[in-house]
Amino acid sequence: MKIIHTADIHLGSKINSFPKDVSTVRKEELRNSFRRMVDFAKQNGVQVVLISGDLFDGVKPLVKDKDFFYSVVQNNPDIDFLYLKGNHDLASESIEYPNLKTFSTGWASYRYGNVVISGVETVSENATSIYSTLNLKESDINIVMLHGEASDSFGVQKVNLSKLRGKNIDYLALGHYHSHLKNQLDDRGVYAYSGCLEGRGYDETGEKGFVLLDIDNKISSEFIPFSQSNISLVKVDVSNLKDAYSIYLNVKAVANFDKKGIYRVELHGELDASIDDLESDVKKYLSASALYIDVKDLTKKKIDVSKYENDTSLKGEFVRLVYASDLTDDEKAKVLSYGLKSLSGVEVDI
Amino acid sequence: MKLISCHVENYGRLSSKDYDFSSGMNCFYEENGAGKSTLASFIKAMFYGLESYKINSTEFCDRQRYYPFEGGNFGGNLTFEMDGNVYKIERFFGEKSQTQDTLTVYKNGNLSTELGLDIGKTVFGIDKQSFERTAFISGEEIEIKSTSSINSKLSGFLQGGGDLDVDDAVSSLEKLAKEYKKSKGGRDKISAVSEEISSLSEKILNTEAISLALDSKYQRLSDYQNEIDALAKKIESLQQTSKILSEWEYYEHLLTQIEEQQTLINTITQKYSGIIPTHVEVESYSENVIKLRELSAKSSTGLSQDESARLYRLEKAFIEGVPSKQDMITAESDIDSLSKLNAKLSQLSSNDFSQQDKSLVNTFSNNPPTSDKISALEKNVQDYKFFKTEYDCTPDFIGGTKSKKSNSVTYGIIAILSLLATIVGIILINSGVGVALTIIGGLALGISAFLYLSDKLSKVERLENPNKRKLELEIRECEDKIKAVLIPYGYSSGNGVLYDYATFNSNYQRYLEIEKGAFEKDKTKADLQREIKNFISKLGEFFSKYGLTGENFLSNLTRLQSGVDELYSLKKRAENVSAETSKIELETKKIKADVNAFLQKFNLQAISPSEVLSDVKTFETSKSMLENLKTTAVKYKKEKNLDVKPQGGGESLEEISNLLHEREREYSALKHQVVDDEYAVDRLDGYYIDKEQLENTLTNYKQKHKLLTKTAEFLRLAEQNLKDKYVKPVKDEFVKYASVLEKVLGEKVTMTKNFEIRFERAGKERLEKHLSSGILSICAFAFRLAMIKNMYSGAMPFLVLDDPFTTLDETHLKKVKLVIDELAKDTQIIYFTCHSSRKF
Repeated sequence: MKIIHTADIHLGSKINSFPKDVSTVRKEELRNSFRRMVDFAKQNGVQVVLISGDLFDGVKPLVKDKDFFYSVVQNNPDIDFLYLKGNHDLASESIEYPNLKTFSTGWASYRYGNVVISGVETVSENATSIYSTLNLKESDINIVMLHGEASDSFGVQKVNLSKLRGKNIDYLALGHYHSHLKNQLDDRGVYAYSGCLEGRGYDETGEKGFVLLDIDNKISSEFIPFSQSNISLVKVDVSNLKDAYSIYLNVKAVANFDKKGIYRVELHGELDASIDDLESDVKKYLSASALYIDVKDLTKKKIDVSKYENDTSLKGEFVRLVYASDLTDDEKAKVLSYGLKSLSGVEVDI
Repeated sequence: MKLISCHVENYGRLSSKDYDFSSGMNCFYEENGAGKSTLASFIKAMFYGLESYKINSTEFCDRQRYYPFEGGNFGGNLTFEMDGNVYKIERFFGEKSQTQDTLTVYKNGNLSTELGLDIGKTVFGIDKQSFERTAFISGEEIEIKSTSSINSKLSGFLQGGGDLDVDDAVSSLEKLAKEYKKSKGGRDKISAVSEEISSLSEKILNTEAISLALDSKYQRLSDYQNEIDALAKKIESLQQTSKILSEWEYYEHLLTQIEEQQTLINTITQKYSGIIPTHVEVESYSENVIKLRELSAKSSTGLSQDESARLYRLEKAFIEGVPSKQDMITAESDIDSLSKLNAKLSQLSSNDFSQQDKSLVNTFSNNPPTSDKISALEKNVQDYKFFKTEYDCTPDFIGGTKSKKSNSVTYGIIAILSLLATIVGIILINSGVGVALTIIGGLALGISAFLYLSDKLSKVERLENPNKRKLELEIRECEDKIKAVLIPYGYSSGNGVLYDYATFNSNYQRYLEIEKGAFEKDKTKADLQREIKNFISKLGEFFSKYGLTGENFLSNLTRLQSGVDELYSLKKRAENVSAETSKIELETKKIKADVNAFLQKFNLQAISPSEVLSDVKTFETSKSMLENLKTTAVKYKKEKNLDVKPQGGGESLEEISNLLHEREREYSALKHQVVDDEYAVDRLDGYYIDKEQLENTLTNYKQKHKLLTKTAEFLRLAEQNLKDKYVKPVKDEFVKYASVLEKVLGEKVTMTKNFEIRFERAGKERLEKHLSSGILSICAFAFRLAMIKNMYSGAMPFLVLDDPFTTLDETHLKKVKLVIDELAKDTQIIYFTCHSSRKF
């Protein structure tokens, strides 16, 4: 028997870390990846899809998102969808379909032969009581669905692992944490976060996908990377490079960009103050390397005032004045650049 | 600080050269190209080194320029004294890079690192560029035309000798800043972005309002959904009740059918007094009834009533005897003869005159011409012919040329042809044919004219013949007589009397023939009519004996023959009937007894076997149906659980269905609205992103504007600081030199705080414009010296004057020499000139 464990799809979620066009594409990809995952399930003989919370981003999901999800359910009658609500979609309403099994604030179980899938939606009222009311047969293969942060304490959005040990759980299918994670629960079972299907911002970097469970007397699980685009953070030290193009070449050499990926490149180190508009220039040069690359200039600007210490000219006086001013280092760097360029008859290009 | 000596090992064109420098003025007089500038560069290189050669640079640097032409060690040494110590700098340079350079410094003969690597900076307190600007003075440096250019040169000097002065730099920055924000409104980048943000904010507000309204729409959708669910359940319940009622309806229909069948069975049972005939009984009854009918039919196979009546009428018709065969043949023959006679008469009647004959009869029968009249006519015709012949043979003229028909047409044609021939001949006159044609044509034209004229003259000579006139009168007389006869009969065609007479005569002869034929025809018709009449009479008499009238004798004959045949047939049949009748009566009596027994058994009046059979079948079918219906009804009731019949009525399924559809429509419409709103709200994120980007841009623009403005301010401030820093010392220094100038020039020279030169003449301060350019140059030189004196934080360096006074005349040179001499008292001067007149 094959089962997919997924969670945190966040249909209808706002995506505003990227430019508008990229955000629009990513929003579509949230739906598309879920649809592709169900196609994968169909093609690979998966019998059950476990959704461990936060299918929708809000308690009032968009009609189009609901229509989409229920259409997927309705059109795949051979697959059972076990939908447990998370903190995001806890109050959302559900429509009944024969192959859509839901949970409530009391334990509910669905049996498939000797495989029993149990789940409960946690609210403040049951946050502590659910652990004592969970009874699972030793002879069954037990999967438990919960939504919350793995912890050793009680709470609405917490899963108290210590209270679940020794409960005959073979696989604890969790949702809430957006990256895949798998650890031993006790001698018998493991707990795992599937992670989300698609990253939505720079705080959701790394590979995203779902977990495929293969059950034949025992459960074996495998993380399937499935996202359309991965979001990555690349930090590059560009100290002492002379201009934006050199920095671009350096970044290209350091980072292995995937054409479908989304990246944030952080530039670190010390640079000469005269290099202006670094972010936009490097971003421009890198634009064709991936779906989207954001560049953050976090370099420290060097102002070599010593060069002008003994300069008796206006330039020297200007540099000394600026350096002694209460402008920030970045502002000083820019003012010096503008001033020296204009004094040299070079056009200030900003 | 002062230079003592230097040794140039190899530097540009200088090789193994030694120079000694004394305090004060050191004048080097050499031709152009001898190496003055090279030496100046060498001194500078000893203090500050040489820049590395850059491959990509377009600038021709000193390392390239002074790399020894002849090769050898590139460099040398320089000895100077400072603060009572003697220093020797020894430098050698690589061809391209500073990495190959070597530097050794000796202090009082010992190796020293006291001056560091940047010796110039350590010694003079200024960098290389400042040193170049101050210690080296060329002619261009002091060539000025007014004190405003002195001021300008000061600015340039202070700015480090850039291409732009501070005003240009500030102006370009302010211009750039204005692109971001203009002081008095107008289109600038900050305003444009602010407007975009404002417009986007409005869009965001509107979309947020849509977003907020979505909650209530979601609630309404939910309410609709609940109502739809409730209505659907109600419909389901009503449909269930309706289904049960329809089952009850069917069950009740079964009961009604059972009742109907029972009623039918009872009726039939009653009809047959409680006993239903068996099939054998019904069959037997049916056979008996059929037999009775057959017997009845047999008994009536003699003459029918109609036939008897017919026989009676026939016997009465032939009461005087039946006509014999011979009578019938004779009658038939007579009818045939009569028919032929009628045909003949009909043919005669149809042979009438033609229309033309009828017209002739009409013409002549009304006024038949007498034989005398015809004879006279014939005579006149003969006479007419005679006179006509005579007349034609008699000549018209006597005693002259016989009159001829005019030939003028012939002559005309000949004349035209001749004329044409002549014209053609004239056209072709150059050829032989042309000449011939002209001659022949001319001759022919003349001959035709002659013939025409002679013909005309010959007519005038003829005389009329008197007999001709007489015969003409005779002819007319005959004509009148003939016409007098013919015209009354309509013969006057205009074709001449002979023609009219011939027509008249022919028609008259035809008329005579018609008259004769009509008489004979009338006689034959009368004979035929008489004969026909006789036959009609005979045949009428024959048929009337048998009651047949009318003159359609052929029909009468047929009817008579038919009557005779029918009479004989009826008479024969009447004789055969009586023998069978008694046998049939016996059999009929027996069967009737059986039939009556059947009727009595079931207490029936006369009834047809088919009715009995139908009743029996109906009874049996009904009985069978009744059983089936009873079984079905019991089973159906049990199957459908029809214990209590529910109450119908109340809410109408249709009304509820309509209401459901209405709600579904409203739900659907609202859902479309919600989806549209969601799409609109979906764009909100994009608006936020756009707004954030615009706000970032705005911040960026504002920052740039701020920094550009700040930059301009700092530049102004720097300029002011420099001026503040230098103006008083420079002025003081200048005044010091001005006292020397006063001595030399004889006029008191001063300087304003804006570095403008003034001089006093006749007790009044005058503008520098009144000074000559030579004096101005001397002032500028003094001013420059004043500047230099104030630039150095370290030791005051020597001055290198690279032939700066080339524009001064002898008088001014002398004055300058005095100033230089004064200067050289406390400053070492290295003075180069290429002209002996400028030697000091």
